[in-house]
Amino acid sequence: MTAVALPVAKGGPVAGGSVLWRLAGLEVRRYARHPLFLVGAVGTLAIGMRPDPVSSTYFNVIVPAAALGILGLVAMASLTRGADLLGRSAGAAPVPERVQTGALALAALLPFAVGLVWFAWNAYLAFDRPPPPSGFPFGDVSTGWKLAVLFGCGALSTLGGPLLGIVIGRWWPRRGVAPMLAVALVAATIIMQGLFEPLRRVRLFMPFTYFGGPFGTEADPERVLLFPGSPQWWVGYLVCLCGLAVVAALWHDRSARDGRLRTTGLVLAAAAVATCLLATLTGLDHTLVNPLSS
Amino acid sequence: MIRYAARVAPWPMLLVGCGAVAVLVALVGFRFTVMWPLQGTAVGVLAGITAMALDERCAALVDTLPRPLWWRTVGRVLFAVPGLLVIWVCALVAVRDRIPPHLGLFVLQGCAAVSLALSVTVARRAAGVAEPGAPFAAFAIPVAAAVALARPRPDWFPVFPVWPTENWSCSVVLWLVVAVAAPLVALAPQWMARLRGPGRPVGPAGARLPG
Repeated sequence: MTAVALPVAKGGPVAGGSVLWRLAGLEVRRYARHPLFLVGAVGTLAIGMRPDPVSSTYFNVIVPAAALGILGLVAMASLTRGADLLGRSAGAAPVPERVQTGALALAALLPFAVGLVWFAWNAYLAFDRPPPPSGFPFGDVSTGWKLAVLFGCGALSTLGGPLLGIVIGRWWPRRGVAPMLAVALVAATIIMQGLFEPLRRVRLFMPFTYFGGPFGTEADPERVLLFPGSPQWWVGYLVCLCGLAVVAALWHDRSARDGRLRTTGLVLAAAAVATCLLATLTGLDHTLVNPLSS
Repeated sequence: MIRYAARVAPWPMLLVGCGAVAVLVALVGFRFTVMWPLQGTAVGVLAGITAMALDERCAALVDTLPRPLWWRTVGRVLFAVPGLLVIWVCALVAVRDRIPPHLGLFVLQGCAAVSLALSVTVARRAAGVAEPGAPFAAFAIPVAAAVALARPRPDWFPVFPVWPTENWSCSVVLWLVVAVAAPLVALAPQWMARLRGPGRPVGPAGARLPG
């Protein structure tokens, strides 16, 4: 926790990196003890690791996204708000805000590590027990396409949710804000998940969306579809969003607003726009209907 | 009491909460087959807003005043709980033709969520915690959303059933148990303390549940 007195080396200031890593260790321990993380991690490992007969493990992506992404958003916003309140109560925080923010961002690697475990096991199962020809995905989609779907929808959500939580905790540290924004994010994600045909092209700017599933046709309501877009470029877009979240959280500290951070933010924003456009304009260019009935 | 209730009710938060519940249920009614996770999310919002309405930021001060905790608690829920439940029921009735024909279960889910939130926060408040609602809301709202999205083991744990083939009657039993058991379990320590007799305060001064 940020209130803990950090040992200062005799004869000079502590190296910034040393403080950052010590603080990151403390924040990781705080995050690991947070009830929302414990519930999310147990839920992910308990219910998100088994294949189903239609999609193997490709529909499991919702489990880490909800259990570690959505819950992680609220958990990290709570930790960030706590650090902010503590700093204000103390009058002068023992470490600069940017170091606290950096430590919190490093703590977000903990849920990401659980997400990577989930990804490794589900990727193994997806290739060991592939879905049937009538299932999802179908046809000649590449290995990279399949891995990108699993990684982007599942593993990266476990990093993006907590990083977004830091941004919310820094810029809007009021009680009740993070849960309500999580609800808004869930609602927006459901609308943009690809089930509404007019929104399928533009859905890829969202941090979570589907690339297909048993969403049906008029004749067969369970027929499996593949949605347009490139999940590989979409993963690149998500990585840019994660970087932008860290920059946005650091930007809250006035003393951290130097040219390097501004340049990093601008480069990441440009890269996010480019990768989002590439994700929308490349890959599958129309909705593909599985020729086999479900 | 009415004047106190009108003053202490967290109106901005209640308005946001009622609006969120109404919008979520309206979205569910717009296309249930797509929007169904928002129904469980709305149940979480009901619980969270109810809990936050009971927070007393200046508890250390008001606990020393003559008005006991039960009086202040009734005042705090006087507008919040009926308001939220009326919005919940009205929103469900408005979309009843576009959701599964289990209106009773959906209403019960809201009542049980409010019962759980009230029980936990009243018990924590009586134990001396000034603002138990905010952490409860921060837990209940995202967990409800995550459970509604991920639907862990819907065959034997049908928290938010969706499809006709699911076990709706089991869900009714589950939510009935929550609605009835939550106040009993959460408030049992308070009642046990009272049965042991006077002179054994529970929590800080003024925090006991009076008879």
